[in-house]
Amino acid sequence: MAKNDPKNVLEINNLSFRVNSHRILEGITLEMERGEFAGLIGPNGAGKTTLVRAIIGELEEHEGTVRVNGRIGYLPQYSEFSRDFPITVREVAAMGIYRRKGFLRKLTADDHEKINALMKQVGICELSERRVGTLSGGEYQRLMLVRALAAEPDLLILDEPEAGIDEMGKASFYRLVNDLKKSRNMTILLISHDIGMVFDACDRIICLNKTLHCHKEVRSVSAEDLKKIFSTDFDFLIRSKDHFEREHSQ
Amino acid sequence: MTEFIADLLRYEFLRNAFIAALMVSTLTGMFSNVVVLRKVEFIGDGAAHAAFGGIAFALLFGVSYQLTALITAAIFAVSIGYFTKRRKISESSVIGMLLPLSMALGVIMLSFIRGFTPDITGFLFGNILLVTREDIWMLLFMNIGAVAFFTLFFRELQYYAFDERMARHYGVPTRFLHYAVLVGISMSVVASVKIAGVILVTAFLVTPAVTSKLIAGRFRSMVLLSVTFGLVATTMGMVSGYWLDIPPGPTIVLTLFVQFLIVFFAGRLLRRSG
Repeated sequence: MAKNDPKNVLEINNLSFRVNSHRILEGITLEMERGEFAGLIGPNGAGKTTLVRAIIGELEEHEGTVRVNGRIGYLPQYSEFSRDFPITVREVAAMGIYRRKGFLRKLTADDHEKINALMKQVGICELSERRVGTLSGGEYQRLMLVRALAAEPDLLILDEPEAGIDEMGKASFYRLVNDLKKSRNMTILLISHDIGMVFDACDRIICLNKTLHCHKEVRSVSAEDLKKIFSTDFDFLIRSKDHFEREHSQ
Repeated sequence: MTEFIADLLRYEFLRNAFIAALMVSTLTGMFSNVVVLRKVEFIGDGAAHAAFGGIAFALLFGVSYQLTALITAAIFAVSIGYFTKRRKISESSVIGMLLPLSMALGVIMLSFIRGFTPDITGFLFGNILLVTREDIWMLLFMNIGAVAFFTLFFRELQYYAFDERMARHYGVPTRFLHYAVLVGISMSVVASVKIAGVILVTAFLVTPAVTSKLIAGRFRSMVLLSVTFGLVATTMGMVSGYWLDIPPGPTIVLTLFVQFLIVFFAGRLLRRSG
């Protein structure tokens, strides 16, 4: 059983999930403490998205337990959306408040103030009355971040937030996430294929490839740890290894 | 126009038809927004064809067609929701199977009618002579229900139509909205049968929202514009149908399409000049 430790925001105990006889996740046990910023890495098909779906409660019929102590803010993977949908940036941001407000409750001036403050913090305040379809990829991801933060989350999940953003935008996005982490003491789980960015941004690394290989501080992650999960992706491994050798030499 | 108004006052059937057509355009104008934004245009078409099975059942057993058509259209719409959610079959595949099934059942039931075979053309393409006072009452209640639904759940409907998955994540009751919308679409279809017929009703459930989406900046204005376009097209269609002595249902459908063309090309011209 999970410990139900109040300092843990996330407690996963012996989580397994199969589709027919195909193993997707096996025996995952994982805890994340309040204020932890962890990067979840693994090759394609490692079960990262499935693990996230289990955490946000979308996965039915899994074995084991998943306990989240608090609210979740979720920034989903970037996907194309109907650009001509008549909805403004502010309206999308307000979706994050819905659960806290409750069914059929109207937004108050105070709610709008909170949304304004968040939009200002992530730098999209001047876009608030624009249609969502007019935003660039980077602006849209910032909006998704505002929506997730509007839920006042204890656990913020960022699922490949760099998708759809150019290199400059990525760096600025992660700087923003780091600032938020410092100012709000949130627990953040970042899922990304960009190993360099994950090592730069996160305090801890979670290596997953159907089973949990490691969950440790960035500095303690070895090339062997990565090799275990990225056995076939050689270029990827070298790039990551170079990165943290640079880190260790500093 | 004066002559049309004079005849409206003189003939109850014309008055009934005009009032019913206006209420149909309001009802379908509202639901058309969700249909278009959720990209489920063929659900309306499928529900209309499913209603045909219900109408045939009513004709065979001599019962009220409204109830049977509503039940079959609702079963159809809910079945789509059920199969697509539970078994991961695409909506278009389910509609592609259920639409001809209902039509086939309708034709089989009609073949069992002995003696006088009723004219079903009116149900297929609409016939304003069929509109009764009871239809108007039914439409009035449906409109009140639909206005209440859209007013109460306005924000929820917007989120559900924009991003169902994330709306569910943030606590919006998407499953309730999903089935409520499907039932609403079925009701709109049944209510529109006498005005537009099962073949043309899709135009009422699609065209107003497609047109309003071209110019609306917000969901609220899109809903209001859809209803306005529907009401204008209905009035113009009824008047020109009366004036040219052609069926009003198809004339309304043509007017809706002309509205779309005007808004579409006016928008392009404005963008070029601006």
